Amino acid sequence: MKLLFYLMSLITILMTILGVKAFEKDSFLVIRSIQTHYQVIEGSSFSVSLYASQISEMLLSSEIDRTRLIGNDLSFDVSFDYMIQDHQETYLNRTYFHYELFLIVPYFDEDIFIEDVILEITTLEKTHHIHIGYINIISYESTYSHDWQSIYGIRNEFIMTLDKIIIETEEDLNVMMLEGITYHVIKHLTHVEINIKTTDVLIMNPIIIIQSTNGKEMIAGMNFISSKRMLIQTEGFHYVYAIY
Amino acid sequence: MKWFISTLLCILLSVMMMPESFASYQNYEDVTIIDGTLLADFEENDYQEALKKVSKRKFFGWRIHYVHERIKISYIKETLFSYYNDGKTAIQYQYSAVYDQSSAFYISATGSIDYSNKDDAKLFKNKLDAALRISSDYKTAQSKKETIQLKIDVDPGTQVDLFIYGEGYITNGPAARYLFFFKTHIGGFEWFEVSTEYQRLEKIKI
Repeated sequence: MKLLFYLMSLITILMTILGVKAFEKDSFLVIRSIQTHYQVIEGSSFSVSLYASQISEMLLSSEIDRTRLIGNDLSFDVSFDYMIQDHQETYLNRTYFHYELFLIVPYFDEDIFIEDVILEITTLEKTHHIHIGYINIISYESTYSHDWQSIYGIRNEFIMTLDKIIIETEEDLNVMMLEGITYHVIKHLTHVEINIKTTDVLIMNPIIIIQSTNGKEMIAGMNFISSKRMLIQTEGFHYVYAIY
Repeated sequence: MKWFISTLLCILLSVMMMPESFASYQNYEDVTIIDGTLLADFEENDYQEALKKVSKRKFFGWRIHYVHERIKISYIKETLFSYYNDGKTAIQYQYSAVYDQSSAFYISATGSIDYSNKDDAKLFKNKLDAALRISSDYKTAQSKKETIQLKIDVDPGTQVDLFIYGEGYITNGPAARYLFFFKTHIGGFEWFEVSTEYQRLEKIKI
């Protein structure tokens, strides 16, 4: 009888613990950003992906008052355009809600490159600082349209970043990428191959500059690669921000 | 009468064989599987053979057989834009669009296997999801909007096309559900996991 009582008590305690755990909600919000190399044409919009462990009021359009990009030497306001709460991803046994913030960069007199840029989000209650990676902001300059047949990217086998960009052409073209990307170009008979070295940030939608004696051509805004399972494929490139 | 019954059976069978699915990978412009077949493309004989693999009675639960397990598939999804400059001078073309992006996970089924789209998560009904051990992160990995802002110069007499292509994995096979040795559901299941999507820009002189 005593044994039965002890067993019943043990089961009750275990059930209570399990029940509490099941209903337990995180008391803090975890936000992950993926360290990405953003390349944007001045005056145009780009998007930053944030992955939040909960649907958060901090990440509501109506709550966001001001957005800024902060570098070591340069800080400036970026216009908050709009935001969408998109898909969900599971990472390390936790569900993350994907938020995409669309920001419009201003015009500058010169090309801008910032390493380790911080996105400052000021809400009605608090200011948050989230590291997002690198950013280039340049003016769009195109004087000639070259004779290439196709442009596409090849991703790294393990990480969500570009390993190569292929430009199918038989012309003798010089291809360049923007500051901050380590790359080398190999010219073949039928195509130009840009090999990209992965460093501290991931490269998914770089701007390409094609140059010849005829002029300069810029290809901007191509999302070479994308996935709806980003967190698991970008491990090691996350910045984790927690709000208690 | 015999003729009528056999015609009716044929119609019923063909309806049962038609895979139901969300607006999905079956509508892609082109799908390439190196070594395998989509559920929709199973030959009738192969389909019936596959069903036999799950016909052994069971006390309770699903009996499953995999015909293809995570085989690689590549596809061309859609042409996002196609622009032809029929003028006499080059045009600076800016393409800016927000479009509906589709899911990273699709399911389809034949026969009496059902599925639902509860809370935007695609699920096979009657716990077939759990029996197939489908990872939960795939079920919710779907997007609503995608934004593109492309800026490019287009020469006269030139057409520029931007299209999406991608890679993924297909898993399919037959499944049957038993309740006290009685078969309650039988059919084919299939799910498609998108791994990466790519954009490709093409220029054609016309």
